[in-house]
Amino acid sequence: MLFKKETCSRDRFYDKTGIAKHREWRGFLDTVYDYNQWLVNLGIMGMFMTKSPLRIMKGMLEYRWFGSYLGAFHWIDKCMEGLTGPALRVAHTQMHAIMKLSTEKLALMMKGDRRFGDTPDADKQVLFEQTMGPEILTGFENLDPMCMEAFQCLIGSYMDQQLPPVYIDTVEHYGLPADSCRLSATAVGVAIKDDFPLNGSCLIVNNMPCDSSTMNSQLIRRRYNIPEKVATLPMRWDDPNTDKYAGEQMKKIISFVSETTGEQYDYDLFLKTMEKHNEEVLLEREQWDNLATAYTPFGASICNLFHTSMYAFSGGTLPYVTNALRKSMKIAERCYKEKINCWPKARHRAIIWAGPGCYFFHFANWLYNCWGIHILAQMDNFEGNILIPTDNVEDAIIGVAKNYENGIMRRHLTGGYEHLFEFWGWAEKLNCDLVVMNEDITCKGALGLTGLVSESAKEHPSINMMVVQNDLFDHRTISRNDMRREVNQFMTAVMQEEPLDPSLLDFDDDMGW
Amino acid sequence: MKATKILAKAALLGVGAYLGMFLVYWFNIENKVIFYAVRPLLNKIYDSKDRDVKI
Repeated sequence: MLFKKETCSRDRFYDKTGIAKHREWRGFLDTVYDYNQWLVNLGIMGMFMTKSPLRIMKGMLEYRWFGSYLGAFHWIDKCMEGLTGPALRVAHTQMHAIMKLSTEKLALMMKGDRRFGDTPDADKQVLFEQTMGPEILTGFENLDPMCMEAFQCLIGSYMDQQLPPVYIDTVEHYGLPADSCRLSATAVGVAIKDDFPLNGSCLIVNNMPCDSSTMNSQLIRRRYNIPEKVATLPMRWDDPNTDKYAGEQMKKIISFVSETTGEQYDYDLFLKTMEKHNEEVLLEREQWDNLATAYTPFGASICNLFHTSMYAFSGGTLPYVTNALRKSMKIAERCYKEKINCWPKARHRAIIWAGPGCYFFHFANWLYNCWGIHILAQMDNFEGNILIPTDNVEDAIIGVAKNYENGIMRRHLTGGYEHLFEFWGWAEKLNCDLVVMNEDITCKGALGLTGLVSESAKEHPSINMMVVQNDLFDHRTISRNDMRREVNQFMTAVMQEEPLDPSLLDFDDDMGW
Repeated sequence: MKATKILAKAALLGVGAYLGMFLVYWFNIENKVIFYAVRPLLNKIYDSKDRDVKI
């Protein structure tokens, strides 16, 4: 079994838990490459532990969500399933950057956690709610922007599907209806359960991505005994008349942080960092051009996460993120030049749209391995990619606001229903023959439009569309296997195709991470 | 001569560690240990924690 090529993929896993008996054989070179990257990830973890060993250990024993990060290696394996050659190399390149930034931020979070004793590090951090990137805070040279909920909610649920239900049950125990947004419910659950680290000199809450987040902000802020500021960004961001208001909100954030921390805002530093932000955006746009070709190494699960991580944590501040983008593009250019087919099993080119089932983060890998569906991009890839003017401060500040208004889960789900329909344009531009439409059953914004989305499919006869339901964070309502079954039904009944690997059609991994 | 011997020993150790770690990687040992031993233990610790649960 040690070096035998797998013919039946599910044999490699223990039933129900989904833990692999052994790792994937990808051919000699790719397996050795994957092993070397595993060693690199181990090194990143080691570096992480040295940053504040005692506090990190305390955090591991204190916070349930932190314990879920022990599943990181398992999660990386899932996101790499079926990948070989340049596609594997691009995925690992981007994953290293993700690992680096997330461990850096986690270490900072633990270093600044007052729960483990007073520390000056706590006051150097400015907390802000997720879906707002760090851009506006980059003018404060001595402060660290710290995304508040991403680690406890989104990334936690990617690593461990068993995590969010603990927090969801807590908030539902207090009377929240079970059809509320799972993201907001989980964030509030973390707050009620007193599971947020107690760091930060001040807190910026916001109304992003939607009104559900406004609800959760009100409850979360009660848990923090630090000064707070509410930043509200216009929902109808398409209207240029709202730009001035959005810019004013940004300025209020700057003066609030400045007054609270006593730090001066360096506008030159801000503009310089926005130039780096623009560099990231331009490299991503190059990637979009490459996605349209038959030789792209981009796709499956990681590219989407790389973009959302870049949006949430970098904003031009992390040079290794830009380097990872450059390195990925270099691989992509070589593939295009040498006409390398990076996705040999692909039968369909597709994009995934709308709110995903976060507990089935590796859904795109499964689609590829079971049905030969190459997922080129997901909705989040096309959010938060605004070029920010850097010739004057006034325009740059409005540009930052615009970037947030076009940010993760915001661009396509608020600001007018027409933005949700942008997927047809992207599907055509990327030469897709299939759209996988997520139907997050608790997302009020997108759910109300599912009928109209289905109707619009009639106008695009050359592109097929399948709708797959999910419950965002709660695998108990719609499990991974329920999602697989929906795809299987569509692929057999509508597309009349046979699976590439029948062992992947129907299996139970409900007890696993 | 002595330096060569030390280098040879270090290289041998390096290769041994590289191959040894490959066994951990291939048999997914770290994930098995974490999933079946470490995490259940941690869950017990989390469940036993006194939290200030309030809205």
